[in-house]
Amino acid sequence: MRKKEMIAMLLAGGQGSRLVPLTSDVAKPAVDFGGKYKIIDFPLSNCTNSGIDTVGILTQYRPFLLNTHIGTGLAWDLNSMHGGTAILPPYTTQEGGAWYKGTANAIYQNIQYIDRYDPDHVLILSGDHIYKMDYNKMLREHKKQGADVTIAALTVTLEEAKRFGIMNVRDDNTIYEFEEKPEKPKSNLASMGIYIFKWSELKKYLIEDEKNKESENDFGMNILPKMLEDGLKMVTHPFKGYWKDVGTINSLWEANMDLLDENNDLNLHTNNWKIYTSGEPKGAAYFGERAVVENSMVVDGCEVYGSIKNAVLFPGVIIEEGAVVKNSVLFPNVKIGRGVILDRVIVGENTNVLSGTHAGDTTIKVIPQNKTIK
Amino acid sequence: MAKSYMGLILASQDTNDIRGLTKYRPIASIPFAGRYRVVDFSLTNLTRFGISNVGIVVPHSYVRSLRDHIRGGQFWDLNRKNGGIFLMHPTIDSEIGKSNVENFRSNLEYLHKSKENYVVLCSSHLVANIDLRSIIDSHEKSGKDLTIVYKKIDENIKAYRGSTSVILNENKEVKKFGMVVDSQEETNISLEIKIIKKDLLIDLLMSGVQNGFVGDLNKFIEHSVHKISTNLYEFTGYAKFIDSTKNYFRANKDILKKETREELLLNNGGISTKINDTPPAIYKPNSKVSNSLIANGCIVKGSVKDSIIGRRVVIKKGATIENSIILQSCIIEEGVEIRNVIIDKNVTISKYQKVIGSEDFPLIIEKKSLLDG
Repeated sequence: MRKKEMIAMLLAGGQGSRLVPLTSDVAKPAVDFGGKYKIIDFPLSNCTNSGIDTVGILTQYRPFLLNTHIGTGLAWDLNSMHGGTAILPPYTTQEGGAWYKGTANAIYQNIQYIDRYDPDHVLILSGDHIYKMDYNKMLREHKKQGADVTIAALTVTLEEAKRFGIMNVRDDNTIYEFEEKPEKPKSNLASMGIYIFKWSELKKYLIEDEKNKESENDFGMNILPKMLEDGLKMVTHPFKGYWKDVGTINSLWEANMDLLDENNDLNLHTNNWKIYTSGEPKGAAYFGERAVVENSMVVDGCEVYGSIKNAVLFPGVIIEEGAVVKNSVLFPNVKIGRGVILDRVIVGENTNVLSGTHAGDTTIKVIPQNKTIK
Repeated sequence: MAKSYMGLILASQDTNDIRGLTKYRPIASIPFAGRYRVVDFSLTNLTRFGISNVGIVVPHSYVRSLRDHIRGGQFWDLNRKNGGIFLMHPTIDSEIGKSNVENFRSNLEYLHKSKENYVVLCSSHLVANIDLRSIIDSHEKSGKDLTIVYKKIDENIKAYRGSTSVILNENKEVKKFGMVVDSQEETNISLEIKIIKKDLLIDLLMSGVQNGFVGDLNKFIEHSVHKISTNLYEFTGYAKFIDSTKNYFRANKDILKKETREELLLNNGGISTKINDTPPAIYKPNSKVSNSLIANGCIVKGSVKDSIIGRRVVIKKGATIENSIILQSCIIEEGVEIRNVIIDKNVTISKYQKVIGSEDFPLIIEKKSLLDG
């Protein structure tokens, strides 16, 4: 096996419990986003565009759809003879088996996989954020600083800070304090859960952490504080740009609506940082004689005969004449019948809404997948 | 069993009547219906049935765009260890690319090496969504050495002018082949799909070369049909050849009809094509679209009616597009008026221009650069 400078490990086992019912049968990284993508397409495409050609994908919760989506990695150009994608579920050994207990334990259980590539550095990613980022730039910074750990960091509000790992840094971006989800945050510099570790160091700490019966085996709770305590060199990599944790129904809806502004910061329409996804090609979108389309996103495979305003449609959506869809997100193959009115709704995959008025208010309403609403 | 069949696609058609779009590409790789290329239909018809070894006889020049589209064949599951995709280039000394009989001979080794016993022969400029299984069943049941697929035409004969007609005797057997002329009431046209035993095809090729036959393989097989036991299969679905600008325009417009769209693009699991990873299209306030197909990646601020718009086309404020086909990556500036026009790739129409063709003869605006396919 060829030696790699850096490989990525993508944590994709998340349940996304606050996205129920959309995650009742798929893992959070497999949730649909942005007209044709799934959340995991963003970190995967970032890997491709950053020149990372080896990505281990750690799955646990409801993996089938995710496995099918990733397939051979071909869609992201990650079907390599010398790396590419590998799906890494938990497994059993002669001593028995265990689910991934925490983020660090998940990596610990895959030391054998990482060692095959003998990497100098390992990039740890999670599969549930929407953003574009050049990990290679982060690696250059990490090497230049001679860091043991580099953490991508983002400025958040003090209110939001309670949900993140919060860091205090010196002028040269070196970290002197790290607190996971603090009650009283001392700063608003948040960890994005994107880390580059020197593999030799990380491996040592993972093995130590595994021996500690008290540990939650989590990067934020255990590994990072311990490394800091031991005086390892930890630096931040400041990130500027669009970043969204689509952890709730409302934030998922908002992030989809963000895309309707053609000058949004995520900028899907640029050609130099494509977001890749897998799926069957479909014919161009068709608009009927009396279609009304305003400020919306429509994708190949849609048929629009009715009227849509501020809507994001996924492939295979059909909107019959006389239907009115406003401020809504319709996942793949949704059918909206005559006379139906939708406002502030997310409709799950393959659902047919054949009658009625369905509206959300401050909370976005979700009509679950695979249903027929008569 | 699909495993005993291989596919051969003839992609070296004459481009005289569709010149504007074939200046730098064969008919096979002309963009079609907003997101496909014409050859996708043949490739999908073959591979959907389970054929995993496909040879394409390419024209003499401008193969780059076809090659760029097909790549390693992965979009049709033709990235294989066994079989896969094989492009057959004419050799330097063969007749200027006109003779695919000669072309085949120089690539005979490919036919010899292929493990399959039967060949499905088809042409890259046919737009049809065909379930090969029923044709293969008919061939196998018949026990004949050759199956010819035809379609009965009883309206708009003009559109098929110059196509090969299949003339039947009273027992519904092939009598001979002719050519379609306008004055006919009805006719049977050959869809240029043939099923033939590989060894017989090789024998035919060798004798064709021996006897100095220069020309099209289809013609040569038709020429030899009196010596071969032949089965006929009638196809009743949608089938059109892209062999002239007019027919190209018509076939695109046909896709605007729901039943044609469903038959061509959705039946049998749809048509496979190269994946381009284009983002969704965005429609701004004040955009107006009716009876049109619009592909991914477009940004639409103007109005579009009865038209087909390819990928990544930008239609600015106040532009109106009617009864036209616009291929990918064009920019239609503010206030432009376009009617009855085909615009090739990467063209910018500058502000307030009027580009208007006649309904009978759509105007072609040629592509701007040779930089991409």
